[in-house]
Amino acid sequence: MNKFIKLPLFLGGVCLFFGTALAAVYNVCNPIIQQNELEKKNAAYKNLYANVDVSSIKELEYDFSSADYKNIRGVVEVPHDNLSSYVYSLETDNPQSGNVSFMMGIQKDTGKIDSYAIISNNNSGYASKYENNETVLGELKSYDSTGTFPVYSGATKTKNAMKKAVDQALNHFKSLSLGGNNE
Amino acid sequence: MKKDGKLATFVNPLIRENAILVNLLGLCPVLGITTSLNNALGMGVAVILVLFFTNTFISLIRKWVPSEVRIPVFIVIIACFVTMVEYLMKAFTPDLASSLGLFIPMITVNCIILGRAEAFASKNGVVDSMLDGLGTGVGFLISCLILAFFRELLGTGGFTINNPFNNELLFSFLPFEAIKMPIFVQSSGGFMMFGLILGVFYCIRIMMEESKKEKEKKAKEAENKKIAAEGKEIK
Repeated sequence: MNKFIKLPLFLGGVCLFFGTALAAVYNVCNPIIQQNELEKKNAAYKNLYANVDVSSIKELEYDFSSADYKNIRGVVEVPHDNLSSYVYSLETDNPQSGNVSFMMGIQKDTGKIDSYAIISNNNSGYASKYENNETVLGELKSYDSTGTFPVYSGATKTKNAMKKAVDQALNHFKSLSLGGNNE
Repeated sequence: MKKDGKLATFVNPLIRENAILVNLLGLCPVLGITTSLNNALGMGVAVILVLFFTNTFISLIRKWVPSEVRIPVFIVIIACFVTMVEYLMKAFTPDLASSLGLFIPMITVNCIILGRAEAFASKNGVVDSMLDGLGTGVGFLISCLILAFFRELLGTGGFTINNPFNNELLFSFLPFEAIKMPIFVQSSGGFMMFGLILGVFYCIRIMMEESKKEKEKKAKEAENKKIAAEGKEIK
């Protein structure tokens, strides 16, 4: 058989065989992976609000493609303690201090930051200073009115990167309150 | 290969032909993941699985693979098994998978895997290739564990072992936490520790070779003396 037919045919056959095997493993693992991710997400919401009703969390579909919201990864409405908050998933974009992923809740009625949690960080040296939920949250709660963002020594780059992401979330929330709904 | 060489096929890659400490192959993931014993164990097991199955399959189909496309075929097989291992880890050890991150898919381009496929599995029988894959994988795991042991001990002041399946804390022993040196769990510390371990390993190897040579020399001298004594007796 011509080499130009035989070789691609052989390679195609190998790809088909191993692709099928891979698909079988994917079909077995995918439901478990999705379940794991859901549990992780729910655990993260419970970390934000102790009395959260995970079954009634509502995914909100807003367009964050604009440069003004480039650090926002998503937003959900979380009912808790007879209240409701918008929880923003944020990620910093400062590679020098490492990317930090965190969640921040803004109370729907008052527009005040009411929860905060670091999900992951690639730079423990700087970002770990922002991991203490209670201390950081205490300072963040007054950030919107006083304009003073929590500052920790040696973490200037992390602070600036996180401040940028928090500002974007606050601006987005304000745009919703003012009727700039782009749902 | 001779039947009595089967044990050697498995044992040689463990220490004498260790892929990391002797051949210095696949160092990127080794330096990246050996920040803790947990990560080293996870990566080691993933590499053992990939090496074992790729070596087996490549050896099985070696007679039908046209030499012109052998490298793409090997890469397809390796990538397939690496992706399977990645799915399985994400499903059953999600925290370990997220901790190893990009280093799991990067096993595909690890030169140890392709190196063993090309140098051994494509030229030898199935059983020998299985043993070679296991031996090389276990050798990789041993090197990772040695490096992780010292990096975690010095970098965190002790050891923390978690159950990879549910991330529950199994064991935590941090007696030197007050004097920990975090540089050892960073990339620069990884290089330093790897250099130190490599230095010690080579010192031990050279000493063992010297002592072997010395023994051989002494045995030869004793034999020469014996021959000379026998010669004198004949005279």
